[in-house]
Formats: sequence, structure tokens, C-alpha cells
Amino acid sequence: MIPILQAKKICKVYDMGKTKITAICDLDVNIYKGDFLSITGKSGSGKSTLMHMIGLLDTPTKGEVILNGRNTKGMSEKELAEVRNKEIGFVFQDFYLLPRSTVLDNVILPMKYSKNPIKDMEKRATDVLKLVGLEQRLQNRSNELSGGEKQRVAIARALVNEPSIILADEPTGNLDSKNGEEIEKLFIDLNNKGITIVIVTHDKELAAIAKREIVLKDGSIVSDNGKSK
Amino acid sequence: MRIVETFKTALSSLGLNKVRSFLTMLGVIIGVFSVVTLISLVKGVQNYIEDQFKLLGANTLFVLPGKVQVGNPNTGHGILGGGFEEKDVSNIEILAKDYIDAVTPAVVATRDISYKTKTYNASLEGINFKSGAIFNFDLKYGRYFTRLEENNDSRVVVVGDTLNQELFSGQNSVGFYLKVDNKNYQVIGVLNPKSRDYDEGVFLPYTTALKEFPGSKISSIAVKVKDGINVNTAVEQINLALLKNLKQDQFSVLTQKDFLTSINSILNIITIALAAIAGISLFVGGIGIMNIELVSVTERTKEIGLRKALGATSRNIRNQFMIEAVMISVTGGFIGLFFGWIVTFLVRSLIRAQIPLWSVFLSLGFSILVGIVFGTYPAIKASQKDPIEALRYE
Repeated sequence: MIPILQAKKICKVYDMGKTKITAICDLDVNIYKGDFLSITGKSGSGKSTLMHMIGLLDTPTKGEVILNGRNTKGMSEKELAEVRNKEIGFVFQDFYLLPRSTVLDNVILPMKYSKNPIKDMEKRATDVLKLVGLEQRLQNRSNELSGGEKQRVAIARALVNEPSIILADEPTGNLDSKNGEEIEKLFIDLNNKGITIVIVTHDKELAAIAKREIVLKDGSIVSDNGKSK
Repeated sequence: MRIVETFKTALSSLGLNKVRSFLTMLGVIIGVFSVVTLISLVKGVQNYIEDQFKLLGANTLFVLPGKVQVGNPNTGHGILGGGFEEKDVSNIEILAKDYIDAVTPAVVATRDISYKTKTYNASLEGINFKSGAIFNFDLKYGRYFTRLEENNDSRVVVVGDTLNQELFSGQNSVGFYLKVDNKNYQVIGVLNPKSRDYDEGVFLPYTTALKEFPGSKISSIAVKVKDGINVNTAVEQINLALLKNLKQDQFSVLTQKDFLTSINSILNIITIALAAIAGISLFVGGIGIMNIELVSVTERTKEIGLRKALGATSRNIRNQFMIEAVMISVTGGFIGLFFGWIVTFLVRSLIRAQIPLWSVFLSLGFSILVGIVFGTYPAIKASQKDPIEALRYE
């Protein structure tokens, strides 16, 4: 089976002047279509750094990230932005919605940055919002929503461009347990529909809902229960 | 992101902070308003002067003290301080008699004129008994003053229509006495309406003016050229006549065209100077835009990070902030232009002010330039933000 995302021997070294800090070293990860993967580890283990690199928000110091067969090494800032827009959907702990824009406008936003103009953006955004159960809140401003609803909007926004992979960074970190559980359930439902999801978390309960778990320590993988795939 | 979408995004960002956006554009509003209004007012003055000269006809010449080079605003020294003698007037009258119809000295003074309880601050113009023909005076009531009255320094006056309205409620005031410097002057004529300068004026024999207003002098000489005589030939003859008593650099003989060219060149300098001063407020407005845009970039750091994570390129971000800055300055430009137009419209009853098309393009062009110049740095700063750092920004 060909992975949709391959991280090959990636390293990330931060140059702090006199000292150099290695956040990730010689790390290999393959993510396959339909995977539901959690990346866990203690604080400073390199989880976020790994997410940034496979999310093409950051470039590895060494190694390469291949997405859908395209090597992203050496891509320009513009090309990386295009790939991010088309292939990756982000969900953040702090939601990062535009507070005074409507739910619909927040979900439409990634489509506005598409290289190829997307027809009927409103209909597409509405359909995705139905999928996350927010069809009644289309015209509400995002600052009028509860935390759980905000995260649903963020998930809808991540899904709207039909990316190859959803990257979620501590998606329940700012939610109470009830809303957290609802979001977990939503991720399970989405994965059951064939959507590839990667969750970066230090929450063991959240990690447990994933089918596969990678544990990081000091920038290296210490366990991957799906490596054999 | 398509440019239309970028415009919509910029517009909605500005709409989210309406008061701040308005206050930011205030500098540009004031700048464009000042530029447009000042230019329109100077244009109004220019139109007014042109109208006044056109009323006199093309064959009226003016002799001024000092050397005036047509079109050179740096010349004309002595215009304010210099003067002529009666001998100069008679030299023109005698030596250029074949070329001219009439000649009059002009002695100008400003005084409070009163009749009973009413007082009016007016310009008193001392001229000679022949000047009615030069200035094309048309009498509504009474008569013009005579040679005898001129020779006797008589305190007689011909008043303009507005002044007659103000002091005598528009009635036939011939025979009434008005007071200037506590002395009585008899009204002997009232003029028909002509133009503001004449309508608000009081005309009296120049000899009376010289005698009654201490320190006054003949500040200019007006000459009416005979019909059929080439104006330039008449200028040469008047020059020759004046050289009998004066040196070449002590006077200038100007045609209506010369006069207008000289005045226009001075007014053009004034226009540029005023527009430049007003332009400073546009510059300050630009600094205001840059300041607020920098604040906006800092406030919206997370939004920038998010947009980049969602696929915005640095160029998209730069364009968004750039367009915001230009929208502020251009909207400010249009509002300033609108207020300038209102003021121009309001003062039109007083002066024929007019907004030249070039000043519209200049002020709007300058406001666009201000938006681009002062919006560039914040826009570049926004576009260079690293998405990870931006998302982590607290």
C-alpha cells in the first residue's frame, strides 16, 4: 500500500546561536489513506515539530516529506501554501476562527485561497457544516458559539477543501469533557467515512480513540503500533 | 486568492473597526479637503480678477510703479511702496494724446463710511473726471463729478450699488451726505450694478483723495486706448511719455493680458505653496495609516498565521494589508474631495471658486500614493510572518 504521506529521515535542528537544539532526528513516518493516527509524547518530545513538518508549515533541516507522491523538498513558499490549501486540513487547540465573521464565512475561507476557483462555495461550506451538525448556525458569528461548536466549525473548515489528511493539534485541549467527547465522536465518524486523521496530543484518552498510535520521546519514535502496515 | 476576494476581505476587516478606520482616514480627509478647497479658493480669486479686468475691456492699460516682468512673480518690486506724480499722468495725457481716449490716476484708501447710524467699510478710489469712460460707469441716479469739482478738491462722491443699498436702503441718495473721517461728502451719483469691486466702492476726485487722506499717493494710472489703435503701439508711446519724468525701471505699462499673466503667475505660486502646505497633512495622514496598520498587523498576528496555514501565500497577506491601507486613503480622499466640493459650492455666492479637474486627480492620486507608500511597510511586515510563530503569538 502506498502511503499518502511519507516523512523520510526527517530532522529538525533549531539554531540558537551558540547552541543547536535537535527537536527531531532521523524520523520515518508513513501515513496511509484512512489512517486514524495519534502522535503522543511528553512535552518537548517533538510532537508539534513533527506536526508542523508533515503539515508543511515548517521544513525539515534534513530529510524529506512526500505527499501524494510529490516530494515537497525545495518547494517554494507559494507551492507549499498551495499544497497546504489543497491537501491538508488543520484543526487547532484554540480553534483560530475569525471571531466576527459568520460560521459560513469561516468555513468558506480556505476555498478563497484555492488555486483553482471553486464554484458554489456557500453550498459546499453548508454541506460540510451539515456533516458536523451545525447547519442551524450558518449565519451566527463565531464568537457567539460554544467551545464545542467552535471546534466543529474548525473541523468543517479543515474538511471543506477535501484534503488528503486532517492534522489536529490537541483538538480537545480547550474543551470540557462533554464537548471533548463529542469532538472525539465526530473524529471517529469522519474516519469511518474514510477521512485520514492525525491527532497530536498528550491526552491518553484522546489518543486511545485512534486506531494507530505513535509515541515520541526526545525527537524519536519509541513506539508505532501500525508500522507494519 | 482572487483580487476581488482580497478587496472584499480588506473591506470587511475595515468594517469591523469602523471608528478606527474613520479616525485613520481623517488625516487624509483633512489633507485632501485642504488641498482641494485652497486650490478652488485661489481659482476663485483668479476668476474674480479675470472678470474684473474683462469688464474694463481689452484696450485698457495699467501703469504700475516698479518693473514688472510679465509672468515672473519675482519682479514687481515697488508695486506696493512706489507711486506716481500728477506730472506723470499729464505727460501721458499730452505726449500720447493721439493714441489714448482717457487717462486717470488712481488713489486708493480704505475707510469706514457712515450715514446716520449705519457704517460700511469701503474702498475709496480717487480718480479723475474722465475716468467714467475708462471704467465704463453707468449711472443709476445723478451725475459724475466735473473738472471743476476735481480742481476744487470738492468732497463729492459717486457710490456703488451695494453701498447705496447698505447705507441708503437702495433709495436715490443723490444730495445726501455721508461721513468719512468725520467730514461730510455729498453723494452726487449712484452707479448701476456692475461687479462687486465697483458695487462696494466709493469714487471721488483724486485731488480730494490726495488732500483728505494723508499719506495717500497715486498708486497706479489707468489708460483707455483709442479704438483702432494697436495696444502695443499705445504701450510704446506711454512708455516714451513716462520716460520724461521717470526711469525705465520705475514703472511698468501693462496690458490687460500682461496684468492677468502676471497675477496668474503669482497666484499659481500661491496655489503651489498652499497645496504643498496642505499636502503636509496628507503626509501626516499617511503616517497615521502606517501606525494603525502596524497596530493592526500585531493585533491580527494569529489571523495571519491561520490564513497562511489555510493556504494564503505571503503575497495574499501583503495584498490584503496593502489594499486595506489604500482603501483607507482612497476613501479618505473621496470624502475630503466631497467636503471640498461642498465648501466650494457654498462660497460660490461670494467668489467664483471652482475645483480644477487637475486638482481632483492630483489629490486623489496623492492619496493613493500615500496609501501605497505608507501601507507597504506594514504589509511587508505582515507577509513575512512565520505561520508557526504567528499562530503561537500571545
